[in-house]
Amino acid sequence: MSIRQRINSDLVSGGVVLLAVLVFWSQRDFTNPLARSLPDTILALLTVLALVLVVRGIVQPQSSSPFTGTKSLGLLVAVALLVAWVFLVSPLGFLYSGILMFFVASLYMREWPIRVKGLILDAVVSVLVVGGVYLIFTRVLLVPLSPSPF
Amino acid sequence: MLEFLAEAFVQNLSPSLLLLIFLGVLGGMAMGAIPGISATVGLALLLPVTFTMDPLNGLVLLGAVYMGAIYGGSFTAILVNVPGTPSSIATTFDGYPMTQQGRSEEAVVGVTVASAVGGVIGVLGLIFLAPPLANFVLNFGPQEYFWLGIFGLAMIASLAADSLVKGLIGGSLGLLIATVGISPVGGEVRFDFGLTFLQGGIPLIVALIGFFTIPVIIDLITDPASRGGEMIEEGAGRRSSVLVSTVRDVLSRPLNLLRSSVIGTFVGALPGAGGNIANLIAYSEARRASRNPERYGKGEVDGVVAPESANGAVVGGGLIPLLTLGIPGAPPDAVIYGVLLLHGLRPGADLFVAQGSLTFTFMVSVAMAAVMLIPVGLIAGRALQRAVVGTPTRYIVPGIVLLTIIGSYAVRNNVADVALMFLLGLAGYGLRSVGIVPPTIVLGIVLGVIVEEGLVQGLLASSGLAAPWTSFFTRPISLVIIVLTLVGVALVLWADRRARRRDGQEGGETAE
Repeated sequence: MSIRQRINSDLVSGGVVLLAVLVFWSQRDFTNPLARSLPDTILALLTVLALVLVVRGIVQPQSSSPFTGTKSLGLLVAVALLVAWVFLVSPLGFLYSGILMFFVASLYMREWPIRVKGLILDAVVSVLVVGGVYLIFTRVLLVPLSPSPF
Repeated sequence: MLEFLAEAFVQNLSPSLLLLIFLGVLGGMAMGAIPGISATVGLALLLPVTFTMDPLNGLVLLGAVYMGAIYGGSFTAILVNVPGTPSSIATTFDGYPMTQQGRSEEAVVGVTVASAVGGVIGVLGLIFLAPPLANFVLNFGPQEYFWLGIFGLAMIASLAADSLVKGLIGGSLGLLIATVGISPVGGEVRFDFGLTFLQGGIPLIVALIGFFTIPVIIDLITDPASRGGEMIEEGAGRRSSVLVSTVRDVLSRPLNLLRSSVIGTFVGALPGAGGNIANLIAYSEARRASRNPERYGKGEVDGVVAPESANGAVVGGGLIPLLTLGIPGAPPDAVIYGVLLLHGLRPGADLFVAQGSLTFTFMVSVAMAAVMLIPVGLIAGRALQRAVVGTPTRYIVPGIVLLTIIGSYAVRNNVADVALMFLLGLAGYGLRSVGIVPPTIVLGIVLGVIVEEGLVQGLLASSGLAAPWTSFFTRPISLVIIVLTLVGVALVLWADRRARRRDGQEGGETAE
């Protein structure tokens, strides 16, 4: 199912920026005037710009549908895949999390129904690509990657 | 000098140096194409190899790797919207749209020619303008660096797609992100939200990988067809004609090449301002000078030529203050400085006289490396481009995710940076959907450091004045940069207004 939600983008973006200003302002506990000079100027500028957007959104409301054509399930799956991958790097290490998530992602993006041959091909490609990249980085370039606990 | 130059050319034609340059360019290109492995990291990784080499071979190898790495960063920028190095940020603006239109080969050929031309012009600047340019650059104080940063930020006027207000918000958000971490004066920790890893700030690489790649990855997963048929099935029959026509096309607009290369040489000569700033300024200037500025951001060849010729020229430009004053123009130059010192070579006038043969051979070798980009890029680079274009989307997407994870992890060997990259990318996706485009945010992050350091150092240096901030408006070079910034913004806004009026008239005529 595609997302067809229309939004007032000026009002939404103005609101989001005001919220961001509020969050950063709550963290503003530094005292040195020189350390404060640029952040304070930016926060003031952002507040003014966000208010301009909010006022424009109210006075001249223009709605747009930025996610037209985007499938809601697809968006959820994309974010879930990325979240899972990022959070598996630490417990499983780069190699195992990489092979697992590469396989899952390539499988999800395959045309359904999936045949056994395709399943095996994706598994082999996952092992070869992630294993190859891992070896190049750790053995050739000597760049340490997140180690595996196993 | 001419004797040294002639000798340097002869030496550079020896098979051993040519082989070294070839290997350096090839290796550098591969490293530059990997997000997270910047030119500086690539050079640092190779530093131990040069310990056992004689000084000339060591310098030639590092010069070639530097040139190759800066060039290699454009590949991932064009093919998967991930700048391999910060010097290729602006290359994504038109490079990736060209890939989406099935014109990635045209983009790769374009950047190859542009990088080679820029590289050679940068070295010409190094050879003939080194002493006067180095002296001029010494007149740049913190105030001038501050205004140079503002000059770069003026590019927001070009990048802001539909709304200047939203463009300014994006740039300001980028500047705010750049202030996270320890302040340059006073050493206070700012906006760390109680998280220890944020005390060191948000690394540029982590931010730019997140903002540029995560939205593209989400687009490709939600709708694999967005990597359209054209993008995958480039016409095999027109490959040779693409090569010839693109080379002819790029060379037929020498003004863009020359202007961008001069910008790259000059910005490279400014200590601390390297390819990451030069490529953005060159892109902005190219768009401003173009008769068709509306085509920029939609797959304009000049949009990839400008940043790549500029960052190619930065290599030679950065060596100007290094070899004449001992001040590295950009971080990779600091590694080359290390090799010089390691072999007992002191930058300065003496280097050009007592060690003239070695110095000129090294400088000419950098130009040779730029020329070497053409065969290496057109063979190895196009092979890489074809491999990426021919790979199914279901493997490309996890492959990009893999690179983004490596790139963000490798900066500080910290998994938290991977999560940070993802969060910034998700924020970029959301902001893009309401019209605040990620390139404006990245521009703010890139220029935030130079703007803040210039601001606070300028205020400190003028603390004896009754109103220290007036020092930002009284220095002659500052005033020139301010005028250039104002004129530049006015021209962009005027050109945009004219283009919109023309579009409106055409729309009206069509309707009639």
